[in-house]
Amino acid sequence: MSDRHDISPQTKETIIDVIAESIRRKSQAGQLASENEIYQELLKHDILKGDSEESQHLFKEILEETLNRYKDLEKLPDRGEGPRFYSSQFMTESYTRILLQKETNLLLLIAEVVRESSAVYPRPVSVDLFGDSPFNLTQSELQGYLRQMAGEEGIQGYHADDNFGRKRISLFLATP
Amino acid sequence: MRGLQDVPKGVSLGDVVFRFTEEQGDEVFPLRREAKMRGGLPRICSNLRILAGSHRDGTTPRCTNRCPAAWKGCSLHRLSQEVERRMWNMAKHGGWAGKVLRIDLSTGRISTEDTVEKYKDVLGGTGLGYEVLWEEVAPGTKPLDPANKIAFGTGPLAGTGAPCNGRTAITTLWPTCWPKPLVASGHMGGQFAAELKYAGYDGIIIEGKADRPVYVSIMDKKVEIKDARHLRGQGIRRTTVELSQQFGPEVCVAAIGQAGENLIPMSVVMNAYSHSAGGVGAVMGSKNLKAIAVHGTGSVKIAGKKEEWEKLVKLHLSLLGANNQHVVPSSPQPWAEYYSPGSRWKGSRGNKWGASEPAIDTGICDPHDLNTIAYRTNNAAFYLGDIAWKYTVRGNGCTGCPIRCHTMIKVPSVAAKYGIPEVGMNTCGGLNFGRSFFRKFPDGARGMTSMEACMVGMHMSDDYGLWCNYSQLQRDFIKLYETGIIKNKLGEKEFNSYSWDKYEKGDPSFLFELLPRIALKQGELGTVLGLGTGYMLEAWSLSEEEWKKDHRLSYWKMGHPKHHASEEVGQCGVIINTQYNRDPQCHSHCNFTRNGLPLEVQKRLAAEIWGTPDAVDALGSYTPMNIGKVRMAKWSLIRKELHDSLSLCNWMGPWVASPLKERGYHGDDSMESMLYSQATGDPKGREELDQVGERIFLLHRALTIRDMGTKEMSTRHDTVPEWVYDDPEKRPAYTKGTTRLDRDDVKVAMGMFYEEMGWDKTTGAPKAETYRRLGLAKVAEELGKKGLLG
Repeated sequence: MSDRHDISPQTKETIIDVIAESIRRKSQAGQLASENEIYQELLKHDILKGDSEESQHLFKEILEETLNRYKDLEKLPDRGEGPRFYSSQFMTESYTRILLQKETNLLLLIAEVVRESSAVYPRPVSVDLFGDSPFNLTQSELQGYLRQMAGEEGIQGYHADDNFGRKRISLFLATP
Repeated sequence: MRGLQDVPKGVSLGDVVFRFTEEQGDEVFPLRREAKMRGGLPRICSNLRILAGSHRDGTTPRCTNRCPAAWKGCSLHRLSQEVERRMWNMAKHGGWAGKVLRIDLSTGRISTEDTVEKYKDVLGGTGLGYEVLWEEVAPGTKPLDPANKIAFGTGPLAGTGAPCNGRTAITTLWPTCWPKPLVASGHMGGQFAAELKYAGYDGIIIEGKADRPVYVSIMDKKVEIKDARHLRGQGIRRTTVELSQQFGPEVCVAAIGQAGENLIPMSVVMNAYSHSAGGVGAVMGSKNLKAIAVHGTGSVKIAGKKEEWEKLVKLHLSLLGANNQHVVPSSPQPWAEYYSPGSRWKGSRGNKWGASEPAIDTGICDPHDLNTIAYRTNNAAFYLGDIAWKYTVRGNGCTGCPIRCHTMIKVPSVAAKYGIPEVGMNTCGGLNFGRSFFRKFPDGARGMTSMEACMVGMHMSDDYGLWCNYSQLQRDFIKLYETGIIKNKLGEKEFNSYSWDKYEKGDPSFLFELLPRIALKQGELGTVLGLGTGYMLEAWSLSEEEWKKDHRLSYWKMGHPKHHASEEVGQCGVIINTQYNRDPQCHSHCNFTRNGLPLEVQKRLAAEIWGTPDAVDALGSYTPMNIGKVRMAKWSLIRKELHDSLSLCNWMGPWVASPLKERGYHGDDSMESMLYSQATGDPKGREELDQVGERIFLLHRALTIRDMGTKEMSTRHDTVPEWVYDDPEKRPAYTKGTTRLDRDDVKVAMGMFYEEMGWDKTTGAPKAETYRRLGLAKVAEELGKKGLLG
């Protein structure tokens, strides 16, 4: 439609709608939205054209405006791969934490899940959990992480027991 | 939408026009209440009431005669009397079908009695059963005597659109209750309760004994006792098919298999392929009653307004979690603030019903989407692990229940390998029936062999009609085998007739050797296992005390195991497990503590329900007894009896927590009373209905005391097994990591419970004033004469 700053108010509203819808749809599907993904969505809809600096600038401006307008749209801090966005209408903050940690440090994610389970519920954690979405780890991957975990600083070891076929793990955490 | 709500027809309460006389016949009317009607009807005569309002011609009815002396000459008075009678008929028939069937198999006499007049104070279900046993079955009667009776009881919510309304309570003297059979109930889901209601009946009381095998057919008002000799020796499946072919596909058949026919105490009655009530098969067998086939073309009427009823049902649906009212998913979901790996809410994106065509992804299961409630629960995956998803066809279940806890699995390989159908379904103990006999499988506890054992066990036990006694049968078997008792007790010939090498290897085909012999009472081992734990111990001169010490056995008392006791809900679980004459089948307490919400949230909810956050502890981090735990125990028992008497499923409720963040995870503690009031038109608040639940529970207590012939309940009945006070790692009670309890503290707990219930603190026998307070003065009088009051 335009790669210039001077877009019509109607076009701007369309862009806002597409951005909001894009983030919400991703959240509903259990995914975080990146700037690039949202931008590609606008290109796909033929609302923005090209990858010029001007277009990018315009996009970021309107993205900020969209976030300010809709209270359910949240921006997560940039951890090196650009900021991520989600809709609190469809995704909880705790879920975003899992998704971010999954991208950066699986070992830490496992430890954090066990720690949170001990602190909040409290309860032991079934090994099976990590095979389910959103973790989606295979048994061998998980065993590898658990072995690795035993040598990590702050984690003294782990114990897995079998109760009617359901393995549960307990982490023995070093005192901070 | 059958059974949901019939639109009122031909009746307007503000309009004294009687159009409902002939056109409706005996059909049950829905009652539509108008504003200000609840407080009673305006009186125009000194002793009669008549509706306010006008005739169609605009005149207002007035009684000008001097009533009541001249009432016979007063047409308006007669009119008012007719209105009142009709009004009462309408009112009393909301929810209830109106009649209870009584079938005397000795004489062939079939009669009916008015449900509301006779059983309204105990609602139906277990309440009806306890009432029948109290009034009609003399102490000392044995379970298999013709004088024993079986009460199939449904409640006023059966067959309505209320969620989870499919339960039938079957009450009788319990054949596995040891050393003396006492009253107990089995509960089956399925479609039986609704069909019975649609046929016009709230319950069936079976008495006497037929002189030959018979079955009962109930086709609406046509009730017959029919020859069942052609069904003798058939399994439940064949019996069901035969009767379904005869009466049509909509008929619901509750049948016993060979186990029941052979008077095996460990036997069930089953309807709708997989829904069984344990323990009563032999009692039916003793009466030569093979099956009950029922089909109704009527409906259940709702007293409340259609819109309000539908709103209430929708509210109830919105509060549902998964099976066991687990209100958080088992794995993180985008919408979920919390999750719990122990939850039965297994639905998740990527978890597919793989044997469905096409495969169905259960998705994120947003709790606001009421059309995907059935995707949440997969009990095959809960027990068997992820391998089960591939073989899952769908969930199946009871009338009006969206939870669908009977997971249907299709395992094609078992057809050729074992000669059994490739599709099977069941839940919990039924699903695990075959698997639970084994100590190990070649490919692990959650491998393919384990699943095959489930399939073999399900098909065999559900056809023979065998009962697992909450898997005590399997635990007993393992104990007997491991300790060498089986080898010692059996002759060499019989012992060697079993392929123990198959058993050791975890080969499911071993079940083909064991299960038929239990059902057909063949050999020493088969016969003894079919007796139930208590009588098995007696037959083989084994010590019950030994069973009570062993953690792994989970044995509690009187021939039955624990059912969600101290290992899940501390002292509250102990109290509940002391109260019944079989495993208590109560889930009210554990469905709260194991609902998956964080302890902090549970404590917040607990404070509102039971007055203190201390009512709940973290699992394995117990605290000493307190008043909140007593209140929770009392509430749990009352709700269990209410559910069993209303036909709601206690395995799915109560609904005091919900998956809804916007509600602060609150459910609604008044759900039962709201459903009851709207359905029946008998307005009762939560506390008032709880009193009815307490009355029903108290009647069970009275029956137990009367038939035991002692009031020393605390020492003779409400006993606690030793394993509760032990810890395999010898950790002290009330330290982190153990569910061990302290003996003195449990004694305190029982005393507090007795006091809260209005029972004698020492003996545990209810006091006369407690019976009177709950409307059971006659019961108190009878027990008083026998010196059995607290």
